Amino acid sequence: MSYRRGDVLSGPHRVVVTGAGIVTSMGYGWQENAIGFREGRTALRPITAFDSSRQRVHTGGEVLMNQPLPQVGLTHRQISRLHRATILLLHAGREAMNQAGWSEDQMNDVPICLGTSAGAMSLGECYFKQKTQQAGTQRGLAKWVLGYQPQTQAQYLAEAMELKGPVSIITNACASGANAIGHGFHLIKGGRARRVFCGGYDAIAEMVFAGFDSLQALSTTTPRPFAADRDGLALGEGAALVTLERLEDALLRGATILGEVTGYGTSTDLHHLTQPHPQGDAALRSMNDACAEAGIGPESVGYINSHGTGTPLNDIAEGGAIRRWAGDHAPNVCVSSTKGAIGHLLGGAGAVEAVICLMALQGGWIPPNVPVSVLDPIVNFDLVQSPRNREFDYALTNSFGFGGSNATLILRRSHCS
Amino acid sequence: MSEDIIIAGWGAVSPAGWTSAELADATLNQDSLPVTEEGRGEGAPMRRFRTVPTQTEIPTWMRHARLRRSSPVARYAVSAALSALGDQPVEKETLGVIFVTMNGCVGFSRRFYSEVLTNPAFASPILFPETVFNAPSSHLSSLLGSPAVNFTLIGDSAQFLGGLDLAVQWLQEGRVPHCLVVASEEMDWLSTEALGLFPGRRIAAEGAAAVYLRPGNESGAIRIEEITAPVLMSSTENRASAAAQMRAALGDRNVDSRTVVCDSRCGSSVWDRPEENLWRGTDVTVFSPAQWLGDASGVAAGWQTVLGCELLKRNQFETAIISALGCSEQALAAVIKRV
Repeated sequence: MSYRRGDVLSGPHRVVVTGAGIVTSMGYGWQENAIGFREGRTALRPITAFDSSRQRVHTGGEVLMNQPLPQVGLTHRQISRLHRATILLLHAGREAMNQAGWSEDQMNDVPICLGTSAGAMSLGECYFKQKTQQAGTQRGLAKWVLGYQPQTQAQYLAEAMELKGPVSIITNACASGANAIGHGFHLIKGGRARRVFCGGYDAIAEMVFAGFDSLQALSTTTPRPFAADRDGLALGEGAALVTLERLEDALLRGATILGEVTGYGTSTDLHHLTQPHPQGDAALRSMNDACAEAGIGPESVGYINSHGTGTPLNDIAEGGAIRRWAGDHAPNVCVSSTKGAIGHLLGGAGAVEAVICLMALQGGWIPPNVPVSVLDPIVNFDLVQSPRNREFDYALTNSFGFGGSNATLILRRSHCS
Repeated sequence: MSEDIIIAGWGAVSPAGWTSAELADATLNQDSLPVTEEGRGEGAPMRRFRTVPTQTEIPTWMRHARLRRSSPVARYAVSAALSALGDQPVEKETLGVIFVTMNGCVGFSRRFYSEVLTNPAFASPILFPETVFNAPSSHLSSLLGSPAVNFTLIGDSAQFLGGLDLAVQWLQEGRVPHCLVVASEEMDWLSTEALGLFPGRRIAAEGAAAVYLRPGNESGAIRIEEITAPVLMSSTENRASAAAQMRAALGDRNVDSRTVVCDSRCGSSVWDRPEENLWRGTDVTVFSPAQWLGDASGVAAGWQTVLGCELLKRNQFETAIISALGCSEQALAAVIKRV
């Protein structure tokens, strides 16, 4: 953005979503994903993105790379260099932009806010292998070094979508995608930008996969968020991007409004680098801040898309936070985690789950958790375990990450189009 | 919020030492800091770099449990951040933290991935969390005891000013009453050899920079006047064009003999060319800290900012322009002024 002392900003503005694009292991695009999540399908499959034969776990939410690249403004040379992370971004980006229908002059200075945790990590892995196996070879390495950096993926996205605004890349671990949308929301609300293109992405990579396994965070069976006998998470990959703009602008141009962003809360959990506070103190703070901004309480929230990784520590902390946040209202709060279906998308998770919330708000349904035979005793809320139709006005989505990065978004159903 | 935003403190770690004064002195005196030339053998290219001098005493903050096995990135960041906070009475529970890096914790990442390739079953669960980009900022918030908002931003060597801009946004919104912006990088052969893949024979460096921002308008403070919109590089927008656009955005405001420009040049004629003539024909004085300290990737614009603050504090200039031409992504500038 830019700042000049003494400038008076307009605002606050109401911020709406007028375009959304999504790619997950469930499929490409809003339609395929909406059907899958509504029906409670799972889309975990054998890992092919790298050789997982020496890993303890061999499955994850890997995207089938079987779709042609959408129409993007990149040269053949650029296209030949695209990493799968960028390809995921371009699919989601194209869908969101097509849906938004922004004109050329509206796109000129649109900021891009992206969240990612590992970006194109596998290019860094290639570089490392080359450097350790053939130390003297320099040829071809520069493109890996550049391609590995998240800003390069963002530049490809910008160029592909013909955007020239500033780029912000937020790497708050698994909260990155939610933070990117929250940041975009605040840019518009506070009058610093008129439109923002934002979301999150991550691609499966060996190092990250092995890292989660080293922490014994990967499920060796199937991920079962909020089950008493849960044993960890599945990793996934994907991307989701949304176009945000002022409500008045969207109305003026007759855009279809997919939902409204009304609240965004953040907090930093100081308990441990990788473990949440056992009672979910920081998670509670994040949820409370988001609700305060949205001006709502637990009784207004029709659905919570929980962070719900399926690790023993996360679910107990988040469950505790939801209980404390909801109080007596807890039994009426519908909660599910979609990570049992597509895995944990790390930096992409918050954005993907925000788009799932938009689908649910629009369609009047709740995406079910994977069925759980015995619930963790922390669960005193309504854990939705089978497809359910329900009209509701507000969805809350939690994203909690390594380093104690917590983010909560509140999305509201649109009553205007 | 109508109050101005000031830089109320700053700190740096660099090959010149563990203080911002040493950074400024090295630049002003054009000190020839030692350059290490080293190779790994087996045909690997020679690396040229400057490292941060070893501390003679272990600082007390190293006793914090979180820092025991943290990376140099985290330690440099903490040192610079604590210097920026100084002795000021600061309510740390509400302190926002913005951490900026380009390479992150390369050393731990390299070690961890090496272990993965050897045998994933024995890859260390101690190393992995420290490889995550936001580990240093998490340690910093933990050390300070602040549960307030904490962001890690990835970007090129100009990104520090993007962090500054975000901090200004948070302060304007009233999201936090005060905020730290910190950048940090560490030395590792993996990233240093990567630097050698690009033109210019640049000398790699490591270290950190930090500024502490809050609303205020007291006399003698350093006020943020302006941060320009970043010019994004692309296949059709190269560094030279981005630099020219950034310069045009600044115009001729504050461009006189009372102004110092802290630019991104690092002493490599090939690499520095786009910035060489940006200030020709004006009365400004130009300093290029990277020329004397080295190229510290995501820290570069942070060092430039800290240098600007030091020079204003020393009453040598009234205004400092931080001209940040990034290595691959963006060009932007900030203008700061002594009130």
